[in-house]
Amino acid sequence: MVPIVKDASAPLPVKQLPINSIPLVKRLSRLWRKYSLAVVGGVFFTIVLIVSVFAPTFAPYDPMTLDLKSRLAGPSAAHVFGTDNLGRDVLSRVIYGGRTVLSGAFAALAMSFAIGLSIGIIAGYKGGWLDNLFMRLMDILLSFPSVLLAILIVTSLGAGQTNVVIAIGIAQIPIFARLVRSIVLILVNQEYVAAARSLGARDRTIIFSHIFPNMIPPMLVQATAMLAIGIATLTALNFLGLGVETGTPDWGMMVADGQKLLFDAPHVAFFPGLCLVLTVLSVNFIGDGLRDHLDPRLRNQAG
Amino acid sequence: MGVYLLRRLLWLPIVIWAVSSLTFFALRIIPGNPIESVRDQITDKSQIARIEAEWGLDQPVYVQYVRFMGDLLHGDLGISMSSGAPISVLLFERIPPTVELTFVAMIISTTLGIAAGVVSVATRRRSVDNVVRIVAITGMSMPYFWVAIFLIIVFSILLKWAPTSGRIDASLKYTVITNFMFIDQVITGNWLALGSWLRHLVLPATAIGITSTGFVARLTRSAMLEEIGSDYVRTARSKGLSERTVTLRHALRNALLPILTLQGLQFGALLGGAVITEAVFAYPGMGRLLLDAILSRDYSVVQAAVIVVALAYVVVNLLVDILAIAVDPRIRVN
Repeated sequence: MVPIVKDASAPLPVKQLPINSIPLVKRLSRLWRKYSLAVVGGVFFTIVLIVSVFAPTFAPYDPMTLDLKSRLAGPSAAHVFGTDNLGRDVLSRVIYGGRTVLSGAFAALAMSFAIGLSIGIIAGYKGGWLDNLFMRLMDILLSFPSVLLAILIVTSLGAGQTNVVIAIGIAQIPIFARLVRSIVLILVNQEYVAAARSLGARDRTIIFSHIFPNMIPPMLVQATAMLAIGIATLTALNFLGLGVETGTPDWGMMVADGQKLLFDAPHVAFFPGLCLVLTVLSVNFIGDGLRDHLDPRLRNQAG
Repeated sequence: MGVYLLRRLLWLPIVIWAVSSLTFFALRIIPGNPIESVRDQITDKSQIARIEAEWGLDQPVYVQYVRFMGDLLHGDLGISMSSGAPISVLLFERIPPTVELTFVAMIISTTLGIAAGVVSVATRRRSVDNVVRIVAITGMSMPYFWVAIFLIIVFSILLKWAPTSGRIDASLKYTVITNFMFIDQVITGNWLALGSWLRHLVLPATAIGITSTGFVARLTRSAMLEEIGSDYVRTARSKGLSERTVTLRHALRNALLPILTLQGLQFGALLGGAVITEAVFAYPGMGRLLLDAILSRDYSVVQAAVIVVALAYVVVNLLVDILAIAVDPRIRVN
């Protein structure tokens, strides 16, 4: 039905101008038509990011201040998301919770990315017994369902915010390592790499200036997917009581606290949960757009 | 194919060994003697000596390890550190509920996911395609615990259609034979218990199934698009076959293979989802067992639960691989 790959040798349609000569407005509207979900996701995620970073500026109240007189108040002008069972402002706690969640998820991502990248490059580039060793190790880690692996590691290290981040980071290493290795294996056999090598380029030069830049697009798509999963896993572990300490503003912990109050004050669990879902959704929208854009097969189908 | 299969089968005991060892050592890194953390909870002091002997806590770690592996080979998982109950008894109680839960979740995600994918491809309408796509991503984006709570708010609290927790009404009497509720109640003809069990099962199973429904829908869509663009589909069309036959009998049938592989991998996510969802619904399965054991620092139960769940995942994926070979001759050649 749809041609999977356009014929590269076909002449360009006359009307198609080089990208720079198209007016900005037109370019933006084209971007919007094609990637509206990704744009919506990007804008939302940016807002969440800014509000979380500058939480003290945006939060109307202190997230920890108790106000026992106005406990479990529903949403109102004074408390837009209502208050919890200790009279704390839910909106302020949601805003500060964004800090906990995003910093944790990004830290876990950075960790799995850095280690997974190193393992993948070494395994793919060096090959041999090192490759075998690393990949079998990754296979074993992948034999655990990832949530289970994260729970096992948290149990091993002890509950706590940092340990949850480490657990998620470790659980996600094999996914990056495998992806990187598979890309390296393809790139190593490209002609330009062979050319660079025949010119006497060192391994380091080949890896950093020839292989690494070409790995960025697929890694970016994978990273957004892992960020979404990381946010969900992090809040889930906090929800289960394996992560942050009681009282710390965190979306998972807040939903857990609100669970006991579902009948009387559903807003306590609802708003942090909603914020969590929308944040994960926005990351997935971005990832989906990136995937469409970077995968030429999907790009041509999109129209 | 034979060689590949043989290699996979030989790899299985190695994986089992590695998974068990990793779990064993992960739980020995914990600072201090594990018995210290539960000492206060144990009222019967003779129990402590028994547990210490059982775990060989006075021995060096490598002696403990050899002993653990020996016991494991004999299928002996030891006793619970907090209750003293044999772990095999706990597993008999807790495995069937989780199997039921993940099985139903798998049915939900497979049927709904494939249906949504087929609809979005078959209608050829961009609006339908977009709706399915957005719904699929939304499903994928909902953390298990949040879906669970959302379903409780809507279907238990607002609509009062389903209970919020448990596996069956506590007041109901029923016979336990295999502890698989469906089998037991059909054998004994206890329809009342069967109905109650189903009402307790539907929300947690949906909570777990929804997330992977999104993945299945998305994969079905892309796999079918790929098949529909291929030569044999064009041939089928040019033979004058109806669009319905081409879509369902040709494209979908070939798209099923990647879906099968995906579902094997998703099974791990479902098991992870079960751990979280069982916590929300107070559903007495493996997940609940694991979490309770972690919170009460019952490391012998944590160890057994982690190993059992991981092995279930490994075995299911092996079966999926074998099934894929059986179904698709292309893999056999490679």
